[in-house]
Amino acid sequence: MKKSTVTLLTSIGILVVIVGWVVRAYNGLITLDEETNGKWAQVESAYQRRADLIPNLVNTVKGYADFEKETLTGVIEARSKATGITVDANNLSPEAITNFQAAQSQLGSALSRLLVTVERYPDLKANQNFLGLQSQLEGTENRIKIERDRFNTSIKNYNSTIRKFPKTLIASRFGFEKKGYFETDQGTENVPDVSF
Amino acid sequence: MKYWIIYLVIPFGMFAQNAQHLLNAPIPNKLVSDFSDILSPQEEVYLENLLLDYADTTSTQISIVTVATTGGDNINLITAEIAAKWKIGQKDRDNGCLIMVASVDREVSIQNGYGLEPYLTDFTTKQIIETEILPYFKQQDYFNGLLVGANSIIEVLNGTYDGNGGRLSGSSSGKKNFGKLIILIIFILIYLSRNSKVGGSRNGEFRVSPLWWLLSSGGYTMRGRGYSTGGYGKGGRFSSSGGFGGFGGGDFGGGGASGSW
Repeated sequence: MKKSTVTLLTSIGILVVIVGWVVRAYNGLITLDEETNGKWAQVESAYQRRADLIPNLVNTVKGYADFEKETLTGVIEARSKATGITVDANNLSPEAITNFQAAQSQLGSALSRLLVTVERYPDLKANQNFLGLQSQLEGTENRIKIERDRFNTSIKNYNSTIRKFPKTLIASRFGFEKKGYFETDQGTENVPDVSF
Repeated sequence: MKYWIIYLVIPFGMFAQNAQHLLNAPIPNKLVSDFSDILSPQEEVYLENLLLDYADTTSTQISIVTVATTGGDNINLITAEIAAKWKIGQKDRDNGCLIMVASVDREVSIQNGYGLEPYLTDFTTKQIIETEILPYFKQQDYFNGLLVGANSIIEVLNGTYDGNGGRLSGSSSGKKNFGKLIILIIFILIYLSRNSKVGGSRNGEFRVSPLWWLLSSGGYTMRGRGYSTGGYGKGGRFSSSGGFGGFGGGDFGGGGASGSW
């Protein structure tokens, strides 16, 4: 065999190995990327579930004539603000997540204010409709917490992979960007207490 | 491991009394795990068989775990976390349910998998806890609380739950429990007769009256007596000790409710 043939075959061999590695690494990143998108969908649907409960809650509470109007208005406004902010799953940038979280935690605190106010209305507290909504709301807060945790785990996995050498070469070449995750809300490290 | 010193102080066997430890402990190969020892062995077997029957007929796995404390965690979250880790219920159907009792904290939580959420809503779960389970728990009657709780969940999933709480008071409770006992005995007879036929045709022996088996086995202890015709979860892996084939891969997302007494 000629020396040039050997060189040629060796180069082809090395090239095949490199291309194979690039393809595998790229596909691995795509898988991680899709996983974060899927988890995000779960987060959004948990928050949507909470937003969907609010009109019913407001209507139930409204029936109690002297119920504080501004507390209700606060919840309604916070809800429309929160549902107005949607995040495209293909653009989970840190800024988008931060904005989303800010709007949602405003809604969360408006809701806790409402539930605190309800304490002063014994009739309302005993209302079957209200009790039902309250337990749905409690379950929803748990769902939000769980889906958020899972989303964060998938994001941490993705972010650390795209920043580690050598995959970071592929990530930057093909435009995989760092994604944002949920910070712990201030003062709400625990699930809001929706007790009976 | 800064808590290691506690391990020296508390007796062995109390490890699993904290729900947090369950996340790192091996997954139990049974549906009822009484870590805080609030059930007698017979009661445990009774509940295990009830839930095993249900899992075998519907593939819906309802599991009961008792611990002393949640270690300060929100009981709903730790219960969902444990249930997701153990993968209770079937993969792709997510039809698992975990009833967690923290006996020292005096809290109970029921968490259901994604697949049960349309049937077992958080409000229904809350009602079951408040009107069925807690009246018994308040009297330290954990067995009957768990029994009516599990039966109510089964009724909800079968579409026959009427939400009539307060079974505790009045003479009707005895009647209803008696009715349940009869139903259970019928179930056991059906199972035993099925198994005895299988055994008989294969080995040419064991053609014994099911009733005799029932009496000789003390009424409801059937461990190690078959069930291997059923079998769910983990691709049909059977344990040598009897019925339960392991949790099947279900996922949980926080659906459910809790209560305290």
